Amino acid sequence: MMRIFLFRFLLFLLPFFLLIPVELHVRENTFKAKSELIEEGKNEIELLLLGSSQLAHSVNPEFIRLKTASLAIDGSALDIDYLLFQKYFSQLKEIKAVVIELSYHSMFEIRGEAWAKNHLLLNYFQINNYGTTPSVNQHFLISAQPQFYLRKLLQELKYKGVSHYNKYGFIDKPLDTAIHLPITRFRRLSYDEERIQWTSQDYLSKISHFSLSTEPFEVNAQRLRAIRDTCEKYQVQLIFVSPPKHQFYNQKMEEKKLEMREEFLHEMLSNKIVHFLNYETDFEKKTRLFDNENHMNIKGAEIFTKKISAHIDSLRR
Amino acid sequence: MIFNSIEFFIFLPLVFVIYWLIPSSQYRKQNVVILLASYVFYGWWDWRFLSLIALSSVLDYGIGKALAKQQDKRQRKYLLTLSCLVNIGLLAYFKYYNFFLDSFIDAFRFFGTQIEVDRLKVILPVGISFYTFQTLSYTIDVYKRKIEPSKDAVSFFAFVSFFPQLVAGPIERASNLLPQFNVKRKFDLSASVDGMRQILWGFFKKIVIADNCAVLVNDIFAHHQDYSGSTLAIGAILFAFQIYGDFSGYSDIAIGTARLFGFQLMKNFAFPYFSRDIAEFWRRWHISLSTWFRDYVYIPLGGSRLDKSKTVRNTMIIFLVSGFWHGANWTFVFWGFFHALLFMPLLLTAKNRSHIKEVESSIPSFRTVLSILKTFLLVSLAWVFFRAENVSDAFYIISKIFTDIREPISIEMPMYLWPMIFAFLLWEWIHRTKEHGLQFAVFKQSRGLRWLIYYSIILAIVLLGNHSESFIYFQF
Repeated sequence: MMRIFLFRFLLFLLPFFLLIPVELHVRENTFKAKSELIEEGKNEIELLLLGSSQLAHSVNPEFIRLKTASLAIDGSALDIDYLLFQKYFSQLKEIKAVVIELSYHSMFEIRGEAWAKNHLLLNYFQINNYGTTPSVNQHFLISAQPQFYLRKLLQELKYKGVSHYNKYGFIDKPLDTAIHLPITRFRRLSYDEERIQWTSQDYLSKISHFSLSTEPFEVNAQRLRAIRDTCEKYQVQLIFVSPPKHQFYNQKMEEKKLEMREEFLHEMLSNKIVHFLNYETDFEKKTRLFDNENHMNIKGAEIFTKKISAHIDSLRR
Repeated sequence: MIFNSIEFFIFLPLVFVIYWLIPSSQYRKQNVVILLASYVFYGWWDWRFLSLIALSSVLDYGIGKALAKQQDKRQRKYLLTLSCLVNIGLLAYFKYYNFFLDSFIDAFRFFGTQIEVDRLKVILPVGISFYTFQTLSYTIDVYKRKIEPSKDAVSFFAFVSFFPQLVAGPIERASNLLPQFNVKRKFDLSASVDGMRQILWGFFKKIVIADNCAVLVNDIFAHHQDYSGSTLAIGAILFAFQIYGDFSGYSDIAIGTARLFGFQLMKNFAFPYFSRDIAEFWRRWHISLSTWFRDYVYIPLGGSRLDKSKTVRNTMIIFLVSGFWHGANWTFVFWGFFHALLFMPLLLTAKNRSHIKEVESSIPSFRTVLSILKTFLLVSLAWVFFRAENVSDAFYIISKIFTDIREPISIEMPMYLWPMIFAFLLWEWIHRTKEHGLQFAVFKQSRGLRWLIYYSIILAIVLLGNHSESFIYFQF
């Protein structure tokens, strides 16, 4: 009887076993690279990068002199950065500095329990950001976001590979313009300044950065103060960075939000371990270094990374 | 550990295999497996609370034995009182202490006196209301000599902590569950397969129906002041489906899981939203709790054997206590009171047992549909008290539903939500005479079709499921 039951049950599960190769395939992504690098390099990593796609696309750790792990993630916000910091900081034996993105929008964004990428945090970094015990399907990519991953699979079949990334999880080959529409905007418009300007308003109105409420400011400030206190305790440099943005992005920034950030930074910078490196306008007119208004391209990332690496070295001296 | 977690999906097959590897003649060893598994299951939340279950178990096992030996009526009463005091005392301390404290402070403030008292910083142990009632039923039944006291400590401890129904019921009677621990349990293929079906149906109700409704319900109730009366009415109706999917889903998973181990738990829900009046609703909703109150409170108070006024009093007590059992908040008391008000006319006109039989015809008459609809709307209105943060919010919502109903619905709902709820109701109607929704009334003969339905349900769970909600009844 039991044998029949187990046989039938396994037979019923057979289609799910067929999904295993699919799951293993979709698991090969930048998150895996980032997670493996930090897990394997706990005894040698000196620099930890935390931030959103703006930092992830503008810093290629390959060009940083210090041994670096980048946990900058597309769509991340300070609450996610804080969780990643809490998880890894104490495990990194040789850590010298922590870089956290503090762009124009950073202090006003929170991802929280309903964030679409929480399953990636769970699967790659064992971070539970659901506010409750994660259900079974969240432990597999294919069941956590079936529509997304199936679409991704179909795209891969159609376009032969979606992205190429290095061991740091940095995307080091241009993304396909047919799939990644927003992130390849400037290339699709052949870097034509006029066309970019025409369409910029539409792109910027679609990203959340300019419509965020100021409500999360204080809770994010508390998180950053907690990070500062931990860094101070272990005498680790805390470097806030605002990576380069294109001029059309910078022109839209609100004075009030910038002032709030300034005021907060004024408080933080009174501590000598804290630094703020603001590159927002450094390359703002060099359109060919950008993928779109707030993301650098591979070439831009190389130039910028070399610059920030030298800057970090000088701070440490 | 919760049912819809990866831990449980590893835990269950593991316990299942270990349990059935033991020959059924050695059922005492199987009981040890159940006991250990149950303690692991419960300790997963907070191992410290295991001491509470252990304390209740030791106490009631000891009192049960003492009651068997003791012939003196007064001594027996003392023993029963001790069991009630400790069990209800623990429940009162963990669940109601802060509530009573706040109510006293409010009462003093009402009379113009401010008092400062520190609130307790205690966490409510998961499922305490459920296992307390289960273990109490044992002592009371032994006291009344309805059952023999357990002679086997392991089987008794396993009965109190039996993991499938430990945290959210069904609240089992010792007379039903305890004897099952003391007999051989043979693996039954058809019962196990049906148990698996019931588990699947429970997950569907919880993850697809309840959790999808929860997203909207949480939003509507959290921002009730911003929504129109019609939206609030939608919120109340969706909460009716949420709580049904959530709680009956849990019960289905619990009953199905128990069947995998050869145990038969009592039915907890009998398609309550097809009730034709409130009395019928209470015969179909959370059956294990309402029958518990009937047997251990209502009947000892005299039930309906006394004059009408005492019957009314007893009924009112039952509804109020039942409301209060759900939580330390006046909202639950009002919820019970509201149901009592709905029930009273039926009681006074002796119509409370007019719908004992199931609707036989598969296509109900217009009158039956109207009765079902009316009962459902009244129950949904009562749920407002259950779901609201406080009593004044509940009254605000109800008054807005009646005064602002003509304003358009001001919340965006997923397109699939209502067709899905309608399909779910239709399926439940077809299966209303069955134990659960996957005990096929149709497609009985075709395994291929049945399997297609199972796969479709799994697909719906993955594609339509909202997976971030915990079970509502854990908080009780």
